[in-house]
Amino acid sequence: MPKRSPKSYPTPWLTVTYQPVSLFSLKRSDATSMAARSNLVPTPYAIKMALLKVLLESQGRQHQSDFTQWINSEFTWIRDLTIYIWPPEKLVVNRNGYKLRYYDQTADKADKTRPTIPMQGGFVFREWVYMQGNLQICCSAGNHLAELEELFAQINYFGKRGCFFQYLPEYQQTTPEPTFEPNPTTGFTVQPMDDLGEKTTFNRINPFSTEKAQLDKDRVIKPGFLPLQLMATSTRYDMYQRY
Amino acid sequence: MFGSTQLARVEVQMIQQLYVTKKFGTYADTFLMLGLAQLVEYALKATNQKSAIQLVDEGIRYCLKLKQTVNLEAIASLKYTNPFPPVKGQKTDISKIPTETETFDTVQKNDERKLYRDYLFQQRGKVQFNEDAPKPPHPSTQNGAILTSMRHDRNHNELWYLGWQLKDNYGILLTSLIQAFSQGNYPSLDAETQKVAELFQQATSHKLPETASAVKIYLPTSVQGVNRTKADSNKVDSQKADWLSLWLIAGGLFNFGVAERVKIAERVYDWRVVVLEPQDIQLTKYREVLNKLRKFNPPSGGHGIARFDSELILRFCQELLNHHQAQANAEPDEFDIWQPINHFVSSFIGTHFGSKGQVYGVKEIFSLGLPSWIIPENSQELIDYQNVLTEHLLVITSLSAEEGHSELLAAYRDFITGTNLSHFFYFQVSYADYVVKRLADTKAKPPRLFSIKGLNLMVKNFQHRQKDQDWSLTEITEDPGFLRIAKAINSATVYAGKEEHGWDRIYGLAQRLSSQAGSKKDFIIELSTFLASYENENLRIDEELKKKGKFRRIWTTKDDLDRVIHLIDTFGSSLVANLLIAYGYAKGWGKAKDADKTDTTNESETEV
Repeated sequence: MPKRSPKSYPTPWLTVTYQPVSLFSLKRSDATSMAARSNLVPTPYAIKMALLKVLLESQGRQHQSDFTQWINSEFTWIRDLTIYIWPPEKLVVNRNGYKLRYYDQTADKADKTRPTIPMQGGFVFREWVYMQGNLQICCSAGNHLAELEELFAQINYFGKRGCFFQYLPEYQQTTPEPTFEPNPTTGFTVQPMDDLGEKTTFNRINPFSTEKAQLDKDRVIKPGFLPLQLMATSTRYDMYQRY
Repeated sequence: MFGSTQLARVEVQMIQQLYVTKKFGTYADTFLMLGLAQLVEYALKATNQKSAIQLVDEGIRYCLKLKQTVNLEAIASLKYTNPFPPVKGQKTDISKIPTETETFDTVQKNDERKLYRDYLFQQRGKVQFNEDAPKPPHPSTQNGAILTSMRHDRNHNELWYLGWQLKDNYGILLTSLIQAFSQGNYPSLDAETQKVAELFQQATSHKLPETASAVKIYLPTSVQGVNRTKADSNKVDSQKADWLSLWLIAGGLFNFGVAERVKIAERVYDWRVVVLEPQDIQLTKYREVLNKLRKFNPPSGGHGIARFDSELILRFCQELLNHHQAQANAEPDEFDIWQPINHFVSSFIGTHFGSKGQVYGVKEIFSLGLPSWIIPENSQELIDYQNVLTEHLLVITSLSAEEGHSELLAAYRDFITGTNLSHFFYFQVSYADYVVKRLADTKAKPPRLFSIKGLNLMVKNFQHRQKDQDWSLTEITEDPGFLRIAKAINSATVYAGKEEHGWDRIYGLAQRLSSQAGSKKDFIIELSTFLASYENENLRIDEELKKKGKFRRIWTTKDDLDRVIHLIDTFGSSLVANLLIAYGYAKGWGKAKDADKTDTTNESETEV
C-alpha cells in the first residue's frame, strides 16, 4: 500500500473508542445482496457516512437557506479524513442463511403499471460479526478536531442499520501521531477498505441526487490489512483474534 | 516476440517467489492461486526447469516458492496447451470449440464414475485390481458435472475459448503472469491482473480479453443481486469481473475443486464445492493426496450435509496419513511428516449451492477446519491414527440424516471441523444416549462405539488450561479412580441389559451427568447418586452372580470417588464429566484379565 509520509497528514490525530453493543454486519463492497459476506470492521467509507449522517441530522436543519454551500464545505473535510481502524480483541463471524422476500426485477419489468413493488421469496446469505472488546478509530482531525469529537460522540451505529456501538468518551485521545497504523508485514487479514474518492462531491454520494457515483472514482476500494489472525473455523463460524 | 528491453529487465528480477493476494475472501482466492500454480508448474516442466512448487499461506497472501530462479526466456517461446479442457454436457453448445480440441465429456465421465462406485459398493469398499474392475473415475468428474448442472458450462467454455485465442502468444502470457505475480504489495486489489495485461500488451501489442461474467461458481459472492456504488436503487444486476482472474479461477476449480451433489430431501439435491486450503505443502503432494481422495475415497453426498462434511474431513485425513505412511516407508528419516495435519493444510473453504428448482443460489459460504489433534510422531502412531479415523468413519457412516440423526451428525461435524477436541464431548453426550437406546432395541443393528485406545490417542495431545497452568488430559484419563468409575458407568449402561449378565441397564445417565456438569457440587451429587444406585444393584445381584459363576460387576470404592473429586477440584467438573461419559460409553474395557489391571481391590473374582 503506498503511504504518504506522516508529515503530509493534517495533525492532530483523534482516536475514539466504541463498545459494540449488538452484532455487526456490513456487506463487502464486492458482494451482492444475495450472498453478502460481511466486512469484519466498518470501512472508512462507512465511518464517513456515519459522520455525514449525524452531521445532517444534528445541523442540517439550521442550514436550510445555505444548504448546498454548507454541505459542500463540510463534506470536503470529511471526505479527506484519513481513517485507521483498530479491531476488537476477538471477532466471531456467524454465518446465516435466511429465507427472505426481495425485489422481483423480472416481474417489475414485465408489468410497469403495478401499484406495488413485486417481491419474490428465496434464500440469501448473511454474516453477523460478534465483537469482543472495543473498536477504535483513529483519524486525521486537522483543524476540525472539535467538530469531529462532537460528531463521533453522536454516532450510535456503523454499517447495517441497527448495528449499534456505544461511544466511550473516557477513552478519547488526541495525539500528534496516529495511535496505530496498518502494517501488512505480519500475517494480517485482508479486507477491502472502501473510501470516498479524492474528488468526489456530496451529490455523487447522495442517494437523493441523480448524479451518478462511479466505482474507483467516487468510491475507491483499496486493500486493507487488519491485525487479525484466523484462530478457528467451522461450518457455522470463523473466529479471529487480534495480534 | 519477447522484446530485448523486457528481457534485460527480466534478468535483473531473479524471480523465485510468486505472491497471490487474497482479495475475494472466498474460495476464489485459493482457486486463483492454484490456477496460477499449475500454469507455472507446467511452464517450468516444459522448459526442463526444476518444477517443485511449495504453496505457503502467509495470511494476507499466498506465496508460491520455487526451487530456483525462473528462466523466463525459455518459457516465452512455449506453445499453447490447455490449462483446463472445455466441458461438454448433454446440451452444451460446442460449435465454437475447434474440432481438434478434446472436450471433457461430463456424461461419459459420470457414467464411468457411477460404474466405479457401483463396483466399490458391491465389493464393500475393498478394491481388488483385477481385469474386471472398472477404471477409477477422472478426479475432476464432479467438477465437470457441476458446471453443466449449474449451467455454467457456457461460461467455462467461453473462458477457455478466450484463452485459446491467445495461443500464438501463450509463452508471453505465462511470462507476464510470472513477472506480474512476482511483485508483492500492490496498491489496489486488481493491480496484479492489470499488470499482467500491461506486460502482455507491451510484449505482443495485443490486448488480453477484458471482462467476463462473474458467475457464482467462480465468485460466490457475486451472485446476481443488488450491488450499487451508491444506494440509489434496488436494481438487481449481473456481475462482471476481469477475464484473467476468472480464467485462473476456472483452471483452479476444474483441476483442484472437490464438488459433490448432496441430498437435502427426497429428490432434492444441492451442490457443495470445497477447496483444500494449503498452509505449507508441495504442489505435487497436494495434488496427489487430493486426487486419491476424489478418485478412490470420495465422501458420500447421499446422507445430508453434515455427514458429507464429516466424511470429507475424515477421508481427507486418511489420505494424507496414507501419503505420510508411504513417505515414512520410503524415507524413514523424513522429519517433515511428523507434524500436525494442519501444518500442511489448514482447512477446506467452500460454497453451498442451494437448489431453487431450475437454478441454484448461493446458500452458504463456509469453511471446515481440520483436526489439530492428529499429530503422529512415529510410524506406529501413523497406524494408530489411521485406526482412529477408521473407527470414526464407521461411527459416522452408521448415522444418516434420513433416519433422523441430523442432530448427532451436526454435533459430530462441529467437532471434526472445529479443530478443537473439546467439541467431541458435546457429540459424545448425545451419542452415548443414542447408543444405549439403540442397544435396548433388540431388532436394531448394534451401534458402533469409540474405543478406549482411540480416545487415549485423541486426548494425548490435548492441553487443558486451568488456574494458569497447562494440564495434560492424561492426568485424568490415567487416574485409577477415574478409570474404575468410568468402567462402572460402562457396565451399568453399554454392557448391561443383556439377559446373561443379570443386571439392568440405566437409561439417560449421560444426559443427567452432563446437565449437572456445570456445577461442581451438583455434578458430585449426581455422580454419587449414580454410584449409590450402582452399589445397591451390586449388593442385590452380586451374591447371585457369584453363585451362578457369572461375570461380576466392578465394585467402586470411596477412594475412587475421592480421587475423582480431587480431579474435579483440579480440572473443573465439566471436563471430568465429559471424559467420564466419553470413556464410560466406549468399548475396549476388556474381559476379566484386562479388568484386573485397573482393579485396586484384591478380589480374585471376575469383574466386568
